[in-house]
Amino acid sequence: MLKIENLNAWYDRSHIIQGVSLHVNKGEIVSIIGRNGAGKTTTLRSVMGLIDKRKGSVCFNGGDDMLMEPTHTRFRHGLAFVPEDRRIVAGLTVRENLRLGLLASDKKNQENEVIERISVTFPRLKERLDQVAETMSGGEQQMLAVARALARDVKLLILDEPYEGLAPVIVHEIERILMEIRKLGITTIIVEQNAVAALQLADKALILDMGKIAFRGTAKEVLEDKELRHEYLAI
Amino acid sequence: MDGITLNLFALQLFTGLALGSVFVLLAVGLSLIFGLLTVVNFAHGAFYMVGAYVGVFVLGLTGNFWFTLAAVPVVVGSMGVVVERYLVRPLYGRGIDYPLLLTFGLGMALVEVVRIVYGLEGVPFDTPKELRGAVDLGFGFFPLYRLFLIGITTVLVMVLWLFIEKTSYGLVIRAGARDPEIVRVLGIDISKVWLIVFAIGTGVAGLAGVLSAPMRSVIPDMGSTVLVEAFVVTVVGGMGSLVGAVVAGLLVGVVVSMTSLFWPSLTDLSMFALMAAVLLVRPQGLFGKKGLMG
Repeated sequence: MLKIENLNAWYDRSHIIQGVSLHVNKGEIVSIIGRNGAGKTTTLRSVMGLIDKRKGSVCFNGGDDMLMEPTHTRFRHGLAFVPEDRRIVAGLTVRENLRLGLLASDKKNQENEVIERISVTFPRLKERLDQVAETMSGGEQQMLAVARALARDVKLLILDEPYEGLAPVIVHEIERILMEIRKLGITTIIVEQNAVAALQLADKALILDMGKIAFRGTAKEVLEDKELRHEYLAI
Repeated sequence: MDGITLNLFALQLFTGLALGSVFVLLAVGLSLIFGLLTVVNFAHGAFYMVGAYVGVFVLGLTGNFWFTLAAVPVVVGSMGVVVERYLVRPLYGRGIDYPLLLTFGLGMALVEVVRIVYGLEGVPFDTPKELRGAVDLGFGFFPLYRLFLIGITTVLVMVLWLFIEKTSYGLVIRAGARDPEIVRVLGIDISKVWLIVFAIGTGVAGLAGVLSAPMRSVIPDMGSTVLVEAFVVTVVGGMGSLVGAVVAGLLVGVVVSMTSLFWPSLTDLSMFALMAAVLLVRPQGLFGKKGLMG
């Protein structure tokens, strides 16, 4: 479903991502893990076209290479991205944040139907539609960020650090939501510092180190290999 | 200060509001463009001047003031489209000083072009027949044209407010001013919105120019004083804030007008004193957000 081939990315002259390749199949959950500064976020941002200097190829759903296309085209293909820090737009209500996720879709005029659908998975958001979104708790904001990304028909959901700064009980709640999303047939890529939590959900795991792939295998293999975890994840 | 009656005070307040209306129109565009595109548009005064001259041209051609009033923002806004698309857009992502220098140069070039075409001398622009004379407001007679200016600004600000608060484009504008990246991630081509905002900002500046034409002389340099005034208003109100532009525009207008009543010699200084006072207390301006520049 997603084929990343030989991805390279630079910040100014620093070569941050050096030849990362990854194939993701439909319905899978893939975890990209690694230490701080390993290049996890930069990999995602390059795929999304948010890093100016990037090379390689990214094909989605059998389409042509989209790596050099502008960022906004990806959402229209069904590729949704929830960046680090949730990026809830300050000053907008929950409803307006959700509407923002709908504007580029053909469901633009079916706001109420979409909100009904979303509130099955995210009941808390429905109660808070007219609240200014930034006044909600971190967990609720994270749910809103995921819900906003899912407002249109999404085939692949990419999450950057979805558990960051959240209490364990909220992490469990988000995990439950991600399992529900999986049942809908949506493929997911999760980048996480909290490697154990990310691996418990995942089928496949990719460990990045210094901008290169250090390990590629199943999530179970990483969870069971003490040495691997010690060397690349410090856990 | 003898002889200043309540009626005179009220009239001067209205004069201030009329003056402030022009400030509001200028600052709204300047502020919107900065808030969304982070472009400090130094050509804003030149667009105002071009608006007045386009007004002179269209009025000369058609003889219809109302048609002129509708045509000027369209013509100047279209110029804004070309400027954003072909001059400003290639500079995004290179830091705030690049578009600043570009628009500074563009402003000078526009002034020179108008000088070549119309010369240095002022061009007359008559107050339209329907809007001549004065109206009795109960406390004195006030020029009808200035009342019209207050009215049209009120309507325009309300339309802009509805556009920004109630439409999908407005939602993207509000979101884009805070976080352009997430807007792009959510599938919206934000460069189209930037183009529209630049066009609206310059179009409204042009409208302010033609509206001022019957009150101030139409000369190629008319934009340079106004640019400074517009920046003062924008800084007082807070860069990027629509409410700030409106409140500060009217406030500066009233302060200037009142100073000219009580201490005429300090009139020119008053808006800068106000700006200094505001900046000391609230460096981000009355309605600005902290840290917008960084």
